[in-house]
Amino acid sequence: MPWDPDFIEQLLPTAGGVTRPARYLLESESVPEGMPSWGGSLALSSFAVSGYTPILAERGHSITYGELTVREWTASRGMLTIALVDVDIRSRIARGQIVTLRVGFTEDVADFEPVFRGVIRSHAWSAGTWKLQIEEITGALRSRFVGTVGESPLFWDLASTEVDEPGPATGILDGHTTVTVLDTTGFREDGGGVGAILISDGVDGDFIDTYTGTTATEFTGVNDGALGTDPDGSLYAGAGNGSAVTEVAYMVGHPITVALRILHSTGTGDNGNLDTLPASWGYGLPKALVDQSDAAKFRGYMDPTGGANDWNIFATEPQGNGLTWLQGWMAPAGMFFALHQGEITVRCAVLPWLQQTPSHIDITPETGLQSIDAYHTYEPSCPMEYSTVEIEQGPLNPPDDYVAQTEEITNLPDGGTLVRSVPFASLDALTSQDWRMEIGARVAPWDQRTPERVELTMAGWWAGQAAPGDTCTLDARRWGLTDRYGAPFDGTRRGLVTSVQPNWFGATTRVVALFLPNDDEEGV
Amino acid sequence: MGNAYAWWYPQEGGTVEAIDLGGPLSDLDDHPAPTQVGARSVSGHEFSIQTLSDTVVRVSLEDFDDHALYRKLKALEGHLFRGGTFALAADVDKAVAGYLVASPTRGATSLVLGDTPWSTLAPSAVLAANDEVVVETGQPMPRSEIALVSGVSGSTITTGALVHDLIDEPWVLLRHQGFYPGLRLPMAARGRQILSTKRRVVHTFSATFEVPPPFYGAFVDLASADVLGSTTSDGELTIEEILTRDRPTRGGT
Repeated sequence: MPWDPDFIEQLLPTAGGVTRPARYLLESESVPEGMPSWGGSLALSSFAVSGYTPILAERGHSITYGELTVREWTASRGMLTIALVDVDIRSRIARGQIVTLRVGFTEDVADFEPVFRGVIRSHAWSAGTWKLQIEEITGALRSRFVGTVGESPLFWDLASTEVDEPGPATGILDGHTTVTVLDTTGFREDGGGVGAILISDGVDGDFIDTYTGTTATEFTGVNDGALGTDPDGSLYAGAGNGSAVTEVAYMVGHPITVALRILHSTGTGDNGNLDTLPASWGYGLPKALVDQSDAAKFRGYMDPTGGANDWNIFATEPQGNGLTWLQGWMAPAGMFFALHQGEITVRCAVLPWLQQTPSHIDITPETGLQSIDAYHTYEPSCPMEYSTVEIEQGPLNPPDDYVAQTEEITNLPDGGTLVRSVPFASLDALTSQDWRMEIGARVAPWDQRTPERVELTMAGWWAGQAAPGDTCTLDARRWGLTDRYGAPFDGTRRGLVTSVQPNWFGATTRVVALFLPNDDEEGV
Repeated sequence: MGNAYAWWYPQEGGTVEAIDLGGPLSDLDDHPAPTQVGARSVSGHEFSIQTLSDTVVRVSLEDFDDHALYRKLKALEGHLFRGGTFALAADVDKAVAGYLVASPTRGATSLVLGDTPWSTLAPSAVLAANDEVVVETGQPMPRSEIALVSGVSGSTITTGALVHDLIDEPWVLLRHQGFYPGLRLPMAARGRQILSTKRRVVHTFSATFEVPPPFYGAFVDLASADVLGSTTSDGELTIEEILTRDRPTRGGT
């Protein structure tokens, strides 16, 4: 749920310099039934309020948030350190427990808004003060929130059986439309009516079949050699009796929707309308911890022109590090996780001159701009420009790759050709082509041109409503700062926020914004 | 007008030690000490937050020659250096403090006292017309004003019109201006001399104390059995016992 506008209003500096009473709460989050609560309930505060223990120390706190790296489209993870007076809370915490920091200006805890959410990573005592270290919640996506050994990987319980065609057949042949097995119990699909199985020890190699129905011992409505395992039809998709048949975690949908389903799914369907996948295919994050509306906005920015927008995403084995697996298919298409107003969201790269994101911020002296701390003509993490970006997508699509080509080299060295390889695609060739064009149009410009980087400090916390991936404008005329084309930063040109660091225990916010040249406008 | 008095509990579950200071204080003064951080934009727009506010109280009893009093204050001195708390009244007959039954609006003149947790220290203390009382609220940004009493009838105290609108405050404390139910030495001051002797003839007790920020909030909504100095299974309930409870209170500190 987005922050209340009244709360955001109080984050602004004012002409009259009103001092606001800052209050803090740190509390653990309830997790879905069946998942461990990790040590019980933690409810701490900086002031005396019913239901909370007022042991937050007067000083000693610190907070950082993750920074987005463009081109890689991954983010570092922030860390919150909370200092507590010498009270032992060890019976109420556990490493991995989800906790939320809330800030408010009134007596009523209902008015408080979440500003940081993460998982406890360490708890240490020194010189009379306990320090609790909490990692931004995206770091928790390495494993599922479970307490049972073996159940922490995503897709940990993929079902398995064997091919068992009845006589006189001794197996399945290429072009088969059914697969008879020992038992189909435990084989699941994503709720869309189509499942997938991996058949090993095949005649020519392993292959995947999709299916639309099951009986106790048979997969029916089979499309053999699916999901790119037989891209040109040359594979003999046959296998003998006894060949291993393994469940494939197969998910169809817009990639941001699939990522949200993975975050929400508990297997019960009780965690909102995105709780559609089997339990082991998801993290079961309570829906209140996920910013569904923000992710929906960014899904709208990631919209191929043809209209259809499904990907076919799948995993054939358990993923010990679920975050790495997710980033493996999200990042090449410019998608990333972010912490937006205390909730985890799924966002995508945008071109700032085309989109103004929901939490766009106008950085001006009146909204708190205090100082320009640094300016880089060339963003240091982008050491070169790539004149050619090839978008490959999934195993289905070569050689019809999409190629984004610039017309002019503006600085050296020229990186030549960059291949952006996106693991998953649509099963429909035209839709897949539309996707490659979409990714090429939205993401490739960040590879082809090096943005300018501005680091600044703002008085107040107002910029804290934004997160990496939001757009911004900058009015830095008081510093006489111009961009590399000689135009002043006068609040008309939009940039991309890659880092927002509100110091909720101080009175300033640091922001990093990148300004990408728009070849059409910059005269390049 | 009564003498200045100090009260403290030498031990948990023990009885209160009341010290007659032998006359009026030489000096008594207080001011707020807020903890704030702030920043200003290049246009002068300012953002600042306040997380706490101490009340700093300067107390001085100068050049007294009562050696018995000196001995009693010596015992108190050690208690204060250990972080202990004591109550102080500039006039024992006016040692009145308690919580209003309802938070008043701006312009209110009729204030009704409810819970008075410290009444056992000076049971016969009463307010009267022309007394000055402090009306104040809790952390992190307490509001405070001094009102002149025009009349007292039972629990109802009539004053001049209040300046602040406190209707949204979870609790409001009223105390005689010279009565501080809880004072302690700030951590940085423990170890600096507060009781001194001149030529071994006259003595001076002088220090700058603070009201612990959560002090007043810790006494809000005490059950009748928890009244300071009442008999419990452990003996009398002390200030320290109430302060060290891990017990959230109604509303702010």
